Amino acid sequence: MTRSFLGIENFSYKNPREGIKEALEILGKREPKVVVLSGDLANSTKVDEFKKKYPERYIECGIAEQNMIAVAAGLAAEGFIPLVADFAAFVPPRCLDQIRLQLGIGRANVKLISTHAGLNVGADGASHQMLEDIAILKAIPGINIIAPATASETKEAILAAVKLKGPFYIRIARADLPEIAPLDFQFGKAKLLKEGSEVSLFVTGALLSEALAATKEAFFDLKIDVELIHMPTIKPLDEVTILNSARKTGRVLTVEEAQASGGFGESILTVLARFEEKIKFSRIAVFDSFGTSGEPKELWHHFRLDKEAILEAIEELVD
Amino acid sequence: MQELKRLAKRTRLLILESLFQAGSGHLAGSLSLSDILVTLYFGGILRYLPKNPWWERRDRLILSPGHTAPALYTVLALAGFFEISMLKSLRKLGSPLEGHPIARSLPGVEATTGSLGQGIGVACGIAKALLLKYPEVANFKNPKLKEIKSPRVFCIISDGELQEGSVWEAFMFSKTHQLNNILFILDKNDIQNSGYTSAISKMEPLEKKFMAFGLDCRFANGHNFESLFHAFENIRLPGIIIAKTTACKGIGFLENKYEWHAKPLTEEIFLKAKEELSKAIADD
Repeated sequence: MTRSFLGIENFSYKNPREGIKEALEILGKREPKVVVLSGDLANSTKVDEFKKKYPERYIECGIAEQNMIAVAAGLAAEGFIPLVADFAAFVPPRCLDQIRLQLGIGRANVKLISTHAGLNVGADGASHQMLEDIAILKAIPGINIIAPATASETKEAILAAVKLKGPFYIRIARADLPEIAPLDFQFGKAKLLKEGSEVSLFVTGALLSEALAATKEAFFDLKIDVELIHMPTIKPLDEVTILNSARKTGRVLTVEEAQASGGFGESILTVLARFEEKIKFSRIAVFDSFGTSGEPKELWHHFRLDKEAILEAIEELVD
Repeated sequence: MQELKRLAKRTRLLILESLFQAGSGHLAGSLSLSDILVTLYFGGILRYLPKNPWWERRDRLILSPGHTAPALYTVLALAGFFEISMLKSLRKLGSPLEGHPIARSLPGVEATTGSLGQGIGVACGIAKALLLKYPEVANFKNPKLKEIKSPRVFCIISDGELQEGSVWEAFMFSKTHQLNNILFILDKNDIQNSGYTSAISKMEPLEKKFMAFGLDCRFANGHNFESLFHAFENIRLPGIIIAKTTACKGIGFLENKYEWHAKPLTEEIFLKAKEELSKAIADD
């Protein structure tokens, strides 16, 4: 018996930042208003091909991120579509003031493409493992937040963000990830990957592969029927899908590679609390601690975000 | 010149009245800046069309010290961007005349400001965008204002906000990207919320700092039209005009007192100040 829900058992690994490169190949040709800004990180964020090919549309801002966001807002005021490619650790926290005033209050049409989000940054350690970005930016009215799970979804998310007017934050992992497909990215929409009847598992970002593995193991080994719903858009939330699934199963598990406080799971909990009283709820996230150096898989295990931790949470919910 | 003086006095009185009606706001900086804005808008420096406020070839004016919005709103209203009667709605619920400006909330308001320092970076972004749109500007080396036929960027800065580090990031950006379409104008009134700017932060020598950051630098008396015209005539871009100004200019008993940075006007003070400003108008 095949242990697959999506038709393919083994996905090939790909770096999600390849999706940035691929999106820019398209946008370079198709959308002359797109300009790319970076703070000395063109190579690490994979915008260096664009920089080479369209030097006049690549704007080097140096290690001065706050100014970079303000400059991006100025470019947006003149009708350009600025993509700011930088590390997640250096943009939402350091530039919160600029993001709030220019992208939030000012509605500047700027797309923040932030890589190296989450523990999967690995050996660089706590300072570089951005876990608070969702909490920080969720609090700013009007900022759309997307956490793609794969390279192709990263590409689709960037293309969608450029097409739509308004500020976007796209949080992208550093580690290579299984190229799970098809995810059929649609902004603001959840994607049902497997129907189930006992637990609704909502996952965002890089942990999709762990959530998928846990769902399979629950189904084939533990005989627990999990409904797996992939939610790349963190804000605005697809509330209808959340409620429909939660009402059906009565049990909700959320999975994210970010701080629990202010995170994706908290958003879902708020929706449930508003409309449904009797739903059992559990979440996989980082609980009030910083990361540390290590290998991505080791860190996911250490911080209890991996398949084993998700399985345990599933078992507890149906217990 | 007589007309400019008349407009400057009217501007001051309108600023005072709108701030009193609002019940809060920043008087000192609005009055130190007003003559500079009057010179820009009514002295033939800025290119603009009030009835076509987003005309592509207009000059862009960015007010980085957003708290001096009453000065900008007043001058925009006098220039015909919107009705003068709207000034009465300053800081009121539902009014587009927000306490601090929001981009495009009103005709003529280019940028969202209010957190000090940000406007300089936004202005640099606009200048960079204009270089992309009008690449011929790159052919000029340190041009004078009038040599640039495409839109130019005028960015007002306050001296207190130079304490923000991101301001200097923006100056580095302006040199790196050769923004020879941008002019900064420093409203150097030497006051900020809790004291005299020169006492709170040792920022001098500013001229040397600006020049080291690649800006041409000229001095002007920010309340003397000839002096301002001379600076606008001679400055080369990117450049900065250090305009020495007086906080609460025009209201003798409040001038140069930092306490009036953001203090609400009592009716007594308002009436006394209004009398002085009205008398100056009547003396014409």
